[in-house]
Amino acid sequence: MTKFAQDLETGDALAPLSFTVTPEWNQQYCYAQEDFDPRYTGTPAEVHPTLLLSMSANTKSPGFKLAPDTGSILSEQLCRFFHPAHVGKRIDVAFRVTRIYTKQEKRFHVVESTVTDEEGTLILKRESHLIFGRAK
Amino acid sequence: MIGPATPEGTLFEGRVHHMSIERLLAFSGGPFTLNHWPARNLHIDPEKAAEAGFPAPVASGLQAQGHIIRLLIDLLGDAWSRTGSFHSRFRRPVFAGDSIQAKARLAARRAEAGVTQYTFDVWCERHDGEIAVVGTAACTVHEPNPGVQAA
Repeated sequence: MTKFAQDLETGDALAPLSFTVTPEWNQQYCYAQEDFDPRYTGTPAEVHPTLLLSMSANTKSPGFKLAPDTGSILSEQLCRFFHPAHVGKRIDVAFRVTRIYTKQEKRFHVVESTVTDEEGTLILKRESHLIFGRAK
Repeated sequence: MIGPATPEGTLFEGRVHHMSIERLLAFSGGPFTLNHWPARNLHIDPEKAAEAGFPAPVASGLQAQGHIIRLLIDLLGDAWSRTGSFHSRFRRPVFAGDSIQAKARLAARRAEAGVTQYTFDVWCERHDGEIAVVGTAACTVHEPNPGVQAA
């Protein structure tokens, strides 16, 4: 049974995600960001970095599940880019809880997302600090 | 344009972006091919935003952060996607209808043997002056950097 996100413990992995970016989906992010740089629309096209960040959020794991009436807030993030990702290639994201800590009476979960492409090339590593709380 | 001679302290500003609900939908609504598009979440749905205690849909923090990344790519070119790093904190929400502007100040520049390490203080400012996202970014560039564009 999949745990609720706030019940995950250090070392727990969330279900991985795989997806392939189409030119249309990439351009959706170009529109959102008003950023039609030729690197995202040419051939081969790079995947827009905000699409990579968006799809590497822990909420995008197929196993992500919030307890009823709760929400999660991203408070802090460290991301490192290693290689461009390309439209049309499969992209894989692995998620793992690497640390849980308490600060100012709030409990933070640190989730590491590792993004690679179908050839195993490391694209992006992202560390997200998340707070879970009750929705108002 | 940024380069090995750019003085530390130089401020770079991105253009002002209006965070219209259309742009938020494109960012947070899921792929247009999704069944029952858009997905319902507090980034695009007033009802979901109200349930979370917000007066209007709240843009994903990643959308504001993306404008900072765009500014850095304009400055650093292809080097960003290979050596860029970004530590960010999300301070204030950006609501549908707000305007924001990304800014970056060159905090440090270290050049050695044709390689320059740039470090920036970066932030994204709402039209009311509040800081939505703040952080530091770094990138290593092999000079001369052909990917650099005028900022």
